[in-house]
Amino acid sequence: MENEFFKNRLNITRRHFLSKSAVGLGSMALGSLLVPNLFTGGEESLAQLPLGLPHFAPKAKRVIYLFQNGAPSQLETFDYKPLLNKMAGEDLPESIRGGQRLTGMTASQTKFPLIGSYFDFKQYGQSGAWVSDMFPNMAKIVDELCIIKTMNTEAINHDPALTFIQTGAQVGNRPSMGAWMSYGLGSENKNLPAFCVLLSRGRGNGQGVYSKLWTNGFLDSTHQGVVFSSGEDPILYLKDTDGIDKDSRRRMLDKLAELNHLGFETNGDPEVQAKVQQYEMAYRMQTAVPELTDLSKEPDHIVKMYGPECLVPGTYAANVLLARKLSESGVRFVQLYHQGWDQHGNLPNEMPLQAEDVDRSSAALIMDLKQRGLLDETLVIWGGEFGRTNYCQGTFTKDNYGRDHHPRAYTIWMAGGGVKPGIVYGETDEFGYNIIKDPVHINDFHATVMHLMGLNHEQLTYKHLGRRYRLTDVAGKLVPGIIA
Amino acid sequence: MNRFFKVCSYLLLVFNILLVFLLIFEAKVRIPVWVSPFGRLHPMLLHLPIGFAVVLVLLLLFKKEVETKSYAFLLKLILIITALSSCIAALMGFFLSREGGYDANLLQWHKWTGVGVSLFTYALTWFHEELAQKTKMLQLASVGGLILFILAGHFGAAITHGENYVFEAFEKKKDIQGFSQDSSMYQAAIQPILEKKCFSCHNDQKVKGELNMSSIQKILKGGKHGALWKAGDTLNSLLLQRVYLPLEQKEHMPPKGKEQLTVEEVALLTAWIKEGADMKKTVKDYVPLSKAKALAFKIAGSKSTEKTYSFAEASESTLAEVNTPFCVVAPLANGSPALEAEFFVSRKFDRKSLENLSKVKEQLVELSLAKMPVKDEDIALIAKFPNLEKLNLNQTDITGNTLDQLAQCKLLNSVALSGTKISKDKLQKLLILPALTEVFVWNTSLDSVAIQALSKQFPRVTINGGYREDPNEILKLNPPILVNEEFILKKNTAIELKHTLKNVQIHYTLDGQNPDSTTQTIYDKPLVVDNYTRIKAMATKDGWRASGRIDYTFFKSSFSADTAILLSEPNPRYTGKGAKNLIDLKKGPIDNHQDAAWLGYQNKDFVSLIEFKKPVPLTTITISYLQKIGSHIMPPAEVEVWGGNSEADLKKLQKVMPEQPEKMQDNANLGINVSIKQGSYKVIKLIVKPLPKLPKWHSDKGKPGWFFIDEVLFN
Repeated sequence: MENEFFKNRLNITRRHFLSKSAVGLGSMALGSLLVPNLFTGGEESLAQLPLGLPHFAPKAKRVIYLFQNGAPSQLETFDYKPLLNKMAGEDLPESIRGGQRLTGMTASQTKFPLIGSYFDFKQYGQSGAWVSDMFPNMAKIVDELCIIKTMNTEAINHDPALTFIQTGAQVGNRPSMGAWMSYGLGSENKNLPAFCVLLSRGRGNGQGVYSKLWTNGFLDSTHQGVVFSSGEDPILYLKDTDGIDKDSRRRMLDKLAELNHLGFETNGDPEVQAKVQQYEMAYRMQTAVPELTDLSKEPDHIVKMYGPECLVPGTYAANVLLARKLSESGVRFVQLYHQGWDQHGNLPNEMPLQAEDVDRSSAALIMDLKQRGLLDETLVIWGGEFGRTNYCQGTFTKDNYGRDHHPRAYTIWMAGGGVKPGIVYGETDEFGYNIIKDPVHINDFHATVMHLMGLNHEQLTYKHLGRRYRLTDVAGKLVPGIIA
Repeated sequence: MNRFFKVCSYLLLVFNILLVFLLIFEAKVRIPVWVSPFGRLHPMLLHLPIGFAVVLVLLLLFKKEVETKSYAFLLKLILIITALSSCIAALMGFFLSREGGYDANLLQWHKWTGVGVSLFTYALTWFHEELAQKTKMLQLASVGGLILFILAGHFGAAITHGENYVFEAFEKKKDIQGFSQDSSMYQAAIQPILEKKCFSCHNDQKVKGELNMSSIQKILKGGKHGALWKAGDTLNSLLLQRVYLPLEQKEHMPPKGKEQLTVEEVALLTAWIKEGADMKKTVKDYVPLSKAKALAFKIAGSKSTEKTYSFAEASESTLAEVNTPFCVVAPLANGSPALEAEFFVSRKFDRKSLENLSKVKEQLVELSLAKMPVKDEDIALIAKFPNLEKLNLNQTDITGNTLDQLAQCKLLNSVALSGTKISKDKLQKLLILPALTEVFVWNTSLDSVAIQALSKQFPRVTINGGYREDPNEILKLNPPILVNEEFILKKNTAIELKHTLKNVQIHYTLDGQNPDSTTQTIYDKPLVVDNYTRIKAMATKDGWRASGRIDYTFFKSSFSADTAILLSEPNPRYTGKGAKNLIDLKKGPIDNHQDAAWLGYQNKDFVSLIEFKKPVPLTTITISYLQKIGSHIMPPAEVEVWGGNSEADLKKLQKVMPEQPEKMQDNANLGINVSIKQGSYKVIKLIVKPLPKLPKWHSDKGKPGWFFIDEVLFN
């Protein structure tokens, strides 16, 4: 036996082979204990963090998203391109267009005459950002804004583009941003939904909004956006029916919950539980909502601040004021949609009407949050789903023109919660057509918003149909340049 | 003894396979917490193989002095212990490396040399007997092993102690001045960043990209691509361009794998360059509003960006005790001991919830009581939270009398008091708080003069007075609002207007003229109309600009017809719901002429017969049509009305030729009132001719026009 082990190391007996193999395999097995899910695919990094809390200290606690539905032209708002005025009427050089696909609306156009902004631009604030004359109030607060000129998307038509920026995918059925936030962070105020949706319609050419933009997708239906009514009562059917007092309502809900739990025990459908929670939420909303519509604690000059329309239910200004109140009351994500920004034609006449609707109240929201000490914990986002072309759609005239859809570069702004104030991020070329510096893709935008809310976009996941999904799915990079 | 060797050889096999396995799956390995102490023993244990290796070398050197049999045994023993301890040290090193925070480059070198040592010594345990025969080979192997040992040791030492640790004493000491107001901003704040993050590749020894950052002159000289920055021009400063590139790009600096600049450091470099990149300007020479200065202070003050708290976490059961649906208490983030509490729904405010928060008084750092009926005496409760940093008392009932009690909150830095009854004197008592940096006093009695005075007195604190009405700014009023929801008025319904502001005058017209502020007809009560009416209205108010106009068309229906038939079929594309459309009192939408409420005709007369069961006294018949000029939908060219008591005895009652628009107009639902001789009728026949040719000004002039009808009304 002596030295046998070392001497005969190359002609091993079966016994030795087996025992060594066993040891070798055993040590691999030991190693595999440190490699979780070695044989189930690469999901181990997605170890689920507890839901309902930020992953790390958030910069913003709430979001107010002032969505400008229909895609306002970047060239008449914040992306000043005097070259287009100089070259008005000349064809867009093919080298700049670079094979960009066209929509069905301009595909038959043989010429793409460049056209500059009908409206003048000036520089404002310490940042010296250019703002068009249509937005005098936003211009005043430009040092609070983080203007991103290099947003870019993949879609070229409204529906896919809207769906993309709202849900992170061009096809429907994915949860929207607000639903993800509700899922990841939970609601702050248990008496209101975590995700509210407010709709308004401007006077310009409009595009539809539809519930798939604020859907919970495959998440639990408690995360769905709750659409507020544009009438005097923002939430319908909250009042107790005549003859039913609070106590009997309570008893009714308790009994109903018992029945529902019985049902849940037999069929195991999680939606039953969700329904019970929704009934409870509605019950608590009966006390919370009247305070939202109450203007008695607001000073009279709020009307001058937000503009007189803020008292007319269903207008953008009224929705912005309501959004501030909802956000102040702990609603995680307030999503506004203002329709009417789709200026394929008649832009010089339609855009000022749209601008008039949104300029004063959007700026007022920033000031109002600031004076309440809430701006540093609320993220406000203003912008649409894509940009508009630097060339004219339809007949070209100097004082009346239209612009088609342009996905390659467009402008949005953010303010408050954790974004750098008073900066202009990214650059487009002189034609306002291509990005030359610091692009921000929709996925990057989502990743960054989630980061500001204290969520790691790679770690907030939901398993559905056999794989895990994220708002950014398989893409998305943080944009550190805009994070304060 | 054999048993010992056998066990050792098995252990060697186990550990080496484990090591190789872990290296293969390195990216996927997750180290559980309980393993980390083993990892941390690496710096201690690694000395064992070194020691044994030295003994081994000694044994080889003094081979002749040792008895052959003992020599073989000793060699085997020491070799196997060396191999075993190397392998264990390597494994531990692997665990330790997963904790992160090491220089990636050095770590790679150390890892692979370390693994090399382990595998090499393992191989020696197999082949040492053969080697023992061949002295040359043995010497070669020993020298090779020794070099491996030295390299692994060197890289390991460089990781823990820093590069050039041993000879550091010989290096010329640079005096790095601490952060002080009198030193230049460059020395105090910029240089430390460059030294920490750039210097390792851009120094006198290593001059990557021909850039040497070891002295101010050399930095100013720049590198291969020119100067590092252009003072004041952040966009064209090479340094910033490189820093802002995405991490994945090759040109990004510092390169991937090296320690990156923090967001604040980037911001500071940017601000410093933007503000002139002055190498000599001292910190105190920067203006108070300077961003660079603020950032420099921030970085000097707190080296870590994430705030840490020294107090312990509250237990889950305590958290559950303090939470109610109206008082929500939650950690600031996952794993953070700090808590924030927010109160909601003022009607449900319960003082007990506030008292209850004393259970988490250590942990509470943010508290929002906005809109709650909080009184002056409640401030005493709040003052008991020693770590409170942020307090929101907006729109509460406090007057400020007791704010001085908050002096106990030594860390309080932000207090919001907007919409309260606070006064200047009382605010003063709060402003002396040591950590206070911002207060919000919008919508209080403090005017801009008071705020200015306080700001001067307390320059440390930002006092935000918020929006103030600008008396010179005159805003445009919003237009009047129509209350009616239906545009077909039944017998006694009236047109109702309103406005959301007080003391507004609503000027209106019913004749199609555009009203303005001189229009004398002023709305004071709901308007009753007899017929199809177009109402235009606008609002005025003192101190405001006049509003825009509203424009609505109303149709009146005094008598409902019983049956309707079409004697000519509409265009097959726009057949709607047929004849019954005409008398169902349902309007078609203006923006969608394809809606089933509309009937469309082109190149063909609209002919319809409408009957009442009993004769009705009629004076006017109104035809409701669509005008959508862009889609060629125009007013009709001609309308003929026939009437009588049966289909057989119809008489032509009236013929009208409606006015045609003379330029482009907005889409609208308009009406044509046709007055007829007063009388009693049972049957009415209508013949409407669409416009045969679009007018000359139209872009499609000459093409046939369309006529769209949704309703016929009788009065």
